[in-house]
Amino acid sequence: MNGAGRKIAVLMVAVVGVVWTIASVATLVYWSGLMLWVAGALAVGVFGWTLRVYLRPTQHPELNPVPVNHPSV
Amino acid sequence: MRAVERTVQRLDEQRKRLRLHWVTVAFFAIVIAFADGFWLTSMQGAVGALQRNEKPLGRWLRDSTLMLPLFFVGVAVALLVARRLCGNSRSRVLKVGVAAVLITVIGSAVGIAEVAASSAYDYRLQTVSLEQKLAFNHSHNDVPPVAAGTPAAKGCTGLCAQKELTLATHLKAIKLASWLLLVSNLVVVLWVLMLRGDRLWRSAPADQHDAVAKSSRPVEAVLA
Repeated sequence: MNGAGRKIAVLMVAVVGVVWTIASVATLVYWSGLMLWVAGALAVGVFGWTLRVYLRPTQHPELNPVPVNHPSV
Repeated sequence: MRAVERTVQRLDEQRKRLRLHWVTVAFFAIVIAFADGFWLTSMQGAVGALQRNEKPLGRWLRDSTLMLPLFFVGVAVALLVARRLCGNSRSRVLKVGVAAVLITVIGSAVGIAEVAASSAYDYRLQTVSLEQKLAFNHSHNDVPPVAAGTPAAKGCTGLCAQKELTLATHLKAIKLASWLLLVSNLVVVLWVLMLRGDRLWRSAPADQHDAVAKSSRPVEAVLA
């Protein structure tokens, strides 16, 4: 597939994906009412923040030793 | 046109950066979405509003297809978290186990949200229908305060009691559906893992391997 054709294909898949996702979210919001989703979004936000904080990559001291300044003799 | 090119490029970069087997993600999403859609359709048929009655097969196909992207995102997130937690582990059982648990839990959460939202819509339709029925009959006192042997709250009679019973029925159905979703999702996730457990995520590119090798040299020096 040439470059332009590939780009159009990727873009079409992306657009369909976005529209499809919006449709599914809109259906859930329509079914349940907006207030429930405000509460849900808050809960997801708190959960995401917790994941971000607790899954933050930690530095192992053996792999990245902290440089120590030895006093010159 | 430049903006389009930039968007496509950015999408490609994102896709490569995530390093997931997208066919595996799609496979998981389709299987879980249609399994959960089955329970949703069953629950709607059992306790749903009459106004939403239609052929179950068509409803199952439509609702499951509609919710597919949410399951896709859920599975992708589960695999990314699983890779982050135990991507460097040598134990294959641990990798597959963590991925199975996370996909099951996140997939079930999406499924339960779907079932709960649908139940909320059914409940709204049913309460409106009850109110209309009572307004039409003008006979609030004729409505039995308690139906089907379920005790109503003190002072809650007529329309209030009927609404409460409807709500209790929906909550009971959601509770039951949640367990069914969890168990059935676990079964289908294990089944898909048997087929595609070796293609969950791609290994890190060569330059990252080099970085890891370089960073581990001091450790080797210490151990030698």
